Amino acid sequence: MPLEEKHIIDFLKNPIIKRQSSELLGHLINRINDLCFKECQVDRITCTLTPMCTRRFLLKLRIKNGLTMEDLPKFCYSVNKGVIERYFRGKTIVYKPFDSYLYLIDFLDIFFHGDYRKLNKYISFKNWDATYKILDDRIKEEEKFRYYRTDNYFLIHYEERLHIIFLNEGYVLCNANRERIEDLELVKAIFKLHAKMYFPEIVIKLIEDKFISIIMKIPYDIVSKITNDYSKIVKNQNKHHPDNYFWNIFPDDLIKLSEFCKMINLHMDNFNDLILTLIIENRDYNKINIKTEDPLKYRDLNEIIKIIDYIYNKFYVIWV
Amino acid sequence: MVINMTEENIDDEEIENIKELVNEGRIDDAVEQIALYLEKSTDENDLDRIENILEAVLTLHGGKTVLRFLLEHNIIDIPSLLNNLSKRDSVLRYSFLLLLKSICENEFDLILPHIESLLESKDPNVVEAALQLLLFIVGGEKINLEESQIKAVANSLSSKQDFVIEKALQVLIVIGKQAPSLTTKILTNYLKQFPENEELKKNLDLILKAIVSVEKIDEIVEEEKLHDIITPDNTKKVKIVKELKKVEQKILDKEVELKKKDLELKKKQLELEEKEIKEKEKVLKKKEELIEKEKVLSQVELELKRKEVEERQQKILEHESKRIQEKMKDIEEENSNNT
Repeated sequence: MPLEEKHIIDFLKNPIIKRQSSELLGHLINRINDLCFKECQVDRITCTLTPMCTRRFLLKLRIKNGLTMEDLPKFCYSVNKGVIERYFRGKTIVYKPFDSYLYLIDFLDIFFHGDYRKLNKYISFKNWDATYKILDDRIKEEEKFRYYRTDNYFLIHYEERLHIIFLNEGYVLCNANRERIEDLELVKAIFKLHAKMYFPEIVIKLIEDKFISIIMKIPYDIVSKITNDYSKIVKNQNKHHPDNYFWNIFPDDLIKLSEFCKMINLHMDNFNDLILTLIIENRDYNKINIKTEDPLKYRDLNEIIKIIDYIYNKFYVIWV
Repeated sequence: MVINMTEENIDDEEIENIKELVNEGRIDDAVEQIALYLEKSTDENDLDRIENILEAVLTLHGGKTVLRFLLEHNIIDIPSLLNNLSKRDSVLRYSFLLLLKSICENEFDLILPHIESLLESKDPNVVEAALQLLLFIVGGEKINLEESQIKAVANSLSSKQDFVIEKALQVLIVIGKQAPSLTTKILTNYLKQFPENEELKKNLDLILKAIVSVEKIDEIVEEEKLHDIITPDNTKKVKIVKELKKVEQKILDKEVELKKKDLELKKKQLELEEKEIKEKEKVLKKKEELIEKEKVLSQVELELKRKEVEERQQKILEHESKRIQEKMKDIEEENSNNT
């Protein structure tokens, strides 16, 4: 039987043989370095069109661990930047650059080219007023982005794609999608950013640094229109009618939400408004159907945001 | 800003029209439209327009056919295109090169004439692109590249850029497998120009190791016979070979002489031996004759002895008979006397 992944994992788990584990990892590091620097990027057509690691995850590994440009396969990084830029500009790409990492200056070069040096300086020195001024001026010129900042993160939502600047680390996660979210501050920031754009009156709170609570209200006016008798629902009814949503879709949405939320609370308040509270916890959770531990990802939050956005804009906001 | 937006919109419309024509299979019309679109280029938007066309062509099903038509009708030409693409991002450049792959494999006549001049470019991106195209060409059906083309590829081994060297290595390995003897000769001569370049030596080693195998040796010898043309470049080599051959001939001659002498010696030895044998034979014959004579003599002696014995016997008999007669006579006389 040949050597398998499991054997290596088990070997590394053994705390007694640290020295050999270190030797083994040394071999692995050498192999990765050879792959990146000697085998892949030296043939640039291969590195560009069919990189030897899936979607350049080895490059991501280096950037996320704080390695500088000197320790990166430079051509590979330049292609990574090129692919992100081409995707942003709607040009042909080999793969969608989801969850790709760039250094801050390169990110700004792509998305805010004219001001990228200034922005890099202001963001690096946390000169927020000057930063906001540049960004707000661009928004006024109808550039399609919004931003939101916390102590550690600067979020930019550009044409339906979320980019997260890690202020202390100096890198940016571009086109966030399947990456694990490891910080509740970031979860809150993502909801806040979307709230700013789509559902400003939804209450989003961080509770004791342990949970995020999202509270939304469905007014009595709407709730009272929902029939109590399912058999009375008219066929071919307007799909935006509360009956259609609350009888046919809402149960499924609740199930979907329960996959990502620690707790969901539904109750009527003193004004007979229906109050929906979502409690989100940043830790591994069990999906009802799949029954496997799966960390919270950016695209999971998108699912929650879609539901909140729909309920808010259909049943909370009174459109004139 | 407004003017730019309008120009951009017109651009988009034209590109969309071209895409529609290609999708409808009206390749000739699409090519004509592209020609018109490119004719409108100014110095400022020249590159953008080419990029727009390539972007459109890259995504379309009939993109390769359109590109072939554009090349055949000289609407775009490879050298200027590669020079322009060198200024653009690598994804576009390599995607475009990949689009040219089937043309390189099947209609290399459109590309091959430009290769040498492209390989001489000072822009490493252009050289790399030319090498990649050449790799596609030699990767298709087997073609015999000219010596000058292989030399141009070999020159790329001295590039300052690793990626150019890597690509040149790849090309030379493929060419080398198709024409091992010629490639080996060119590379060996090329190395003589840079005898102290260790990196080059290493790279040539890599190529030669990849080219030469046990199965290829016969092929190399045969090809050497075919390509054994004396050129000014290999005159020295020929001289050395001739001198070596002379020395070899001398050695062979000496060896033959030695062998001759050896044979002569052996011959003489044999002659001597023969003489000895003959003498021995003579002696033996004489001995035999002597023995014969001795035999005869002994027989004669025996005969003589026998005769002697017989004579003696006769004499004895005669004597006895005489004695007996005398005795008889005596007896008779006595008797008579007595009587």
